[in-house]
Amino acid sequence: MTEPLLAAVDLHKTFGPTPALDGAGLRIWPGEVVAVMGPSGSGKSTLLHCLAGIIRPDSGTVSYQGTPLSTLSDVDRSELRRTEFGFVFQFGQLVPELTALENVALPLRLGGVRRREAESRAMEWLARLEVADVADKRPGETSGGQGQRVAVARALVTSPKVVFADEPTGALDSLNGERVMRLLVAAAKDTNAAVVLVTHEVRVAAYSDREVVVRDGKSTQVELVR
Amino acid sequence: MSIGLTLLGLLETGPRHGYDLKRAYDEHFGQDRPLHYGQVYSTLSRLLRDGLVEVDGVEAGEGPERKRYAITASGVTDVRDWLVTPERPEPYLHSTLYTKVVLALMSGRSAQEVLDVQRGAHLETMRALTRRKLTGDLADQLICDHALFHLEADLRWLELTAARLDQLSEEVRR
Amino acid sequence: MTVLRLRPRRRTWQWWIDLTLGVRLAVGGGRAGWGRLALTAIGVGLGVAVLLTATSVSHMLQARDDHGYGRAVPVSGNSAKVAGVDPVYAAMRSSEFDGSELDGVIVQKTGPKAPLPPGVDRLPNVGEILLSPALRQLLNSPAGELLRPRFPERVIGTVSEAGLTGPHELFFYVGVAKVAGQSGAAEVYEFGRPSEPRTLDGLLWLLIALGSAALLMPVVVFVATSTRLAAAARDRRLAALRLVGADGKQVRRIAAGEAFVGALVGLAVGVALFALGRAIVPLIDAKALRGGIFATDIRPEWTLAALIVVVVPVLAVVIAVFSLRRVMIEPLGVVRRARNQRRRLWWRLVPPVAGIALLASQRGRLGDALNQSSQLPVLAGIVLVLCSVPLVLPWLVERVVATLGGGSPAWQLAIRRLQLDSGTPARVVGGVAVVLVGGIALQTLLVQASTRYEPPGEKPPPVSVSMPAVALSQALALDGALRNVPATESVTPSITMLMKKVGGSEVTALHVGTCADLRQLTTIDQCHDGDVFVSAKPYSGAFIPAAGERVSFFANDPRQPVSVDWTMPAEVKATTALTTDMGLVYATPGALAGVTAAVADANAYLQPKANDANYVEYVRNALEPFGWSANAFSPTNAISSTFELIARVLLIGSVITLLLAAASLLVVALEQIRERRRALAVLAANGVRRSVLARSLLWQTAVPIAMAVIVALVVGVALGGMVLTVSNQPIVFDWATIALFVATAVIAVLASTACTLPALWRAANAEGLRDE
Repeated sequence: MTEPLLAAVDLHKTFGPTPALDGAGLRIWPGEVVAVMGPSGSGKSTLLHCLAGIIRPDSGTVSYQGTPLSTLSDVDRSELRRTEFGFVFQFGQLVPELTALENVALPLRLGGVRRREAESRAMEWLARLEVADVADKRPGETSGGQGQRVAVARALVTSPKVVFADEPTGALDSLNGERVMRLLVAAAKDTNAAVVLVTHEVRVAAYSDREVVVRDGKSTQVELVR
Repeated sequence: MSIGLTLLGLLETGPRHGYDLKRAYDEHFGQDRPLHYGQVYSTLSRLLRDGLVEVDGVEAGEGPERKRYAITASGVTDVRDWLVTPERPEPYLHSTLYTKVVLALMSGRSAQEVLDVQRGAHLETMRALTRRKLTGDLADQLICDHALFHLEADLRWLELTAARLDQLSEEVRR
Repeated sequence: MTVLRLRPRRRTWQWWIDLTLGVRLAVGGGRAGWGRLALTAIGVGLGVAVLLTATSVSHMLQARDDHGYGRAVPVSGNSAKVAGVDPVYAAMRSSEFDGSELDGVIVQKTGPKAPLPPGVDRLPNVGEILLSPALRQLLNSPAGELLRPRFPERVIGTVSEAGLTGPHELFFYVGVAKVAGQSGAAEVYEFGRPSEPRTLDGLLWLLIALGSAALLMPVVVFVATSTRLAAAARDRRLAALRLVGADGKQVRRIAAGEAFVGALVGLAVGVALFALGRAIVPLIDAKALRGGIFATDIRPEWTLAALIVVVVPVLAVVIAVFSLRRVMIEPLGVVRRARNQRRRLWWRLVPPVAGIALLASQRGRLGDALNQSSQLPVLAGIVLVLCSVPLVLPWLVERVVATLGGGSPAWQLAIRRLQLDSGTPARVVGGVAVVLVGGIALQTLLVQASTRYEPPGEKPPPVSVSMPAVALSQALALDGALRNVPATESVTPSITMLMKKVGGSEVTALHVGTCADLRQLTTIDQCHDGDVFVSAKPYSGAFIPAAGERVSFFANDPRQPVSVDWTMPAEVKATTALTTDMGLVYATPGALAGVTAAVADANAYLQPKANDANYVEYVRNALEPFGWSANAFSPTNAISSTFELIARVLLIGSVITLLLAAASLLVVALEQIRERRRALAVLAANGVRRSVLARSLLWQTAVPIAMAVIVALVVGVALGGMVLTVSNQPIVFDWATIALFVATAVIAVLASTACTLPALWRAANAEGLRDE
């Protein structure tokens, strides 16, 4: 068996008096889509944030390609987020002042790519996500579904190895939600990116290859007896 | 829905008389269709024959009502296997699922396990449906959507029921 | 375990990309973004304009002086002879009309090739006059009716701007028959005097320093506030950037780029404002401006201006980046940070303590003379004390608000909101507080530095007339002319002459007057015209010529070496002086009949019957026959006019800054309402009456402003007191004006709060419940 791409072991994290994570863990292999399910308040978003290196767990380790994230500096972790990871959240992650095209080009620009090249690559991804027509509009001027697809484009523009999606269709209706999931999974498969999909909806989880249940800060992988 | 396994599950909580069993079944599961005494006793004799229950004691008097039945070790195994084995995902599973959840709680198990296991099975089916939807034509998509929605409905009801019953688990366990 | 190999970090142009990204964020924000940019630009612009003005003040004053030097009549001796030029006898004359200065030069030409002062094509002959444009306009207007009797000459031309100190100056050149021999007259071959650098006395400099600092502080606070405007939106924006992979330093660079744009635009706005002011100022004809200010005279000190252009954007950027430190942009935004980060007090006390120490160490040093070494510590002390207000206020508000509770729902809403975030309102209200402090300290300084004249009792103030260094015959004629002034109750003349012993150096003064006049000065018993009296009890060392002794009358002015000899009469009576002036010899006109050409100084006091503002003009018109050698003045506030000019400018500036502070309050309040739109709409939908919301908004503003006013009063009074000790003045406070300032500030704040009510009404509609 190959090494896991991203591995979290025995994570504990407390915010104030409430423990959000109580020994949860997860392993992601390259190219697979994993659904992280559980009731609200179960800690699944916190698990995702720890996996992505956005917050540090109180104890436990998260390793990416074998390297523990705690050993990386802020600069390195930022670089990791920029190049190896992609993020699609439920809402509020696009920069409202920039146009859709600029938003998608942003990770490239932050990495030093020249504007013209960054925007042409961004345009390709916008086309792939079927939102090329809103390239010049600001996020506030687009519909929910379009905005989420722009976010997916931004997540994928740097060809990341892992895409973290936290309730990506939570604010969308069924048709738009399905469109986003379809395009996200297809694009991820094309680029062999793993997807960590946090959701509480089964129909969204149906796009995954396997699911992990998080409850009360602990995670369980359900093995079905076949 | 398997009456035998339900009765086994009820017996797991402790030995009962026949009439006790019927009463318990009616109370928890028999709102629509109460159980006949005849059904009870014929099921009990089958279970006895299969070695899943045994006679614990006998009251003075005539007739099958006087016997007290207790579950055997293999009966316990069967109940456990039944609880941890998901039902085949299909619509209108609610009575079986409900029974399972109640029995799990009665025997001190967590309803969440039943839920998780069932969800896993449902998801497998839903994954197949989703894959079919991605490559199919419009008719395929409509059919798959329909099935997906119903499967989701079952699961959501199951989640809610499990949560509700967890809260009431004190009352259920007797 | 494979080693994580990340792509190598960027090249140097990454900095450039980050900054341009910041610029893009600042510029591309749509309407809200433009609004923020405009606010920052206005704040920075005002600050730049204030700074540029402050650096122009000294140059402006010096330029005005230089204009005066350019046309001056040489003072000591005569100007060097120039061949081929027919010299002109000229003397400067100062007068007044209706509170405005009225100056001119009396000239007597000796030949056709006369030297020309700047702005003059041809000097006037006898009976001709050249007027400045403003004087010409005044004489032609109804307001100049009282002035016309003084100008009977024929107008032959105009003095152009090159020869004036200000665009609205009242100035003239008039041809007079005999100038040589008059007081102040000189033989001029060339007009003009080398210019001398103006020295500010300590008090004046203090005023400028205090005023500039007081005006700048609110601007700094405003800039800081506006760069933090829409903080929540900015934090979300920067958090999104962090999520996408910008590291901490990059985010700071981007924020710096954002702030830089605002600062640059602000710089442009500031320079434009300054240029606008420069164009407008010459049009202002206020008495306090003493003839107005030429636009070309308003020039900032170039080195300082360059410094301003560099420092201001840098400062704006530093403030913006510094304000990020507390926020600690994490990719999730500012959520979930423990709220126990209470403000600490100790470092906030450092500036005020240091400022007080600095000012205390300089006490008394800047009295009248400008002690060079004291300038910097005093300025630093003032700035530090002013800084302390916006630093201490947030801490104070936080602590006080934490102890409040209970009350009506409106109060509760307000207090809880303040407890959640007391920083923003405290900071904004701090701007108003600093203006208050500055205003109070300035007013304290102004009150002390101006000495007011209080007329004794109910009588209207007398007018004093002086006619120095004229012939005795002229001096004697003055009394007669003055008695013709209408509505006069009494005239008290006084003529003095200087006499020295012939062949010696002892000097004494002689009073000339009729018997009636002399009886007011001495205890004379019998008196006839022709009598001479001497003091019976002279002070030790006094020189009293004996009867029959030869003395010589001379003039005080070295340009008039004329002296006339006289003999004390044979019979001299003794008397005692009633007043304590240096008079020791008293003579009636008859005794001096033969020496009417001797030089005398004539003075007189006229008591008007009623309090008439135009009375002094009647007196001046009555002096017209004496040419321009006599002056009349009504005693008013004896304030240095430069002082008054600067004081007026500073007070106007304070008003503007107060408006600015109130405007920033308005803007912040509007922004907060916008941010809380949803919460407000929910409250309203739940049935909370709008009046309750409005009252809660009022309390939200009133509590911080009350604290700010208290702090400002304390600090303002303390600063004013300290500055007074530095300049060696007694400590007296003008409580009435201070109360006025406080009331104005409070009203400004409440008014700006009231202006946010429409926005509150709109937000509290169910409209706010819609998703955007």
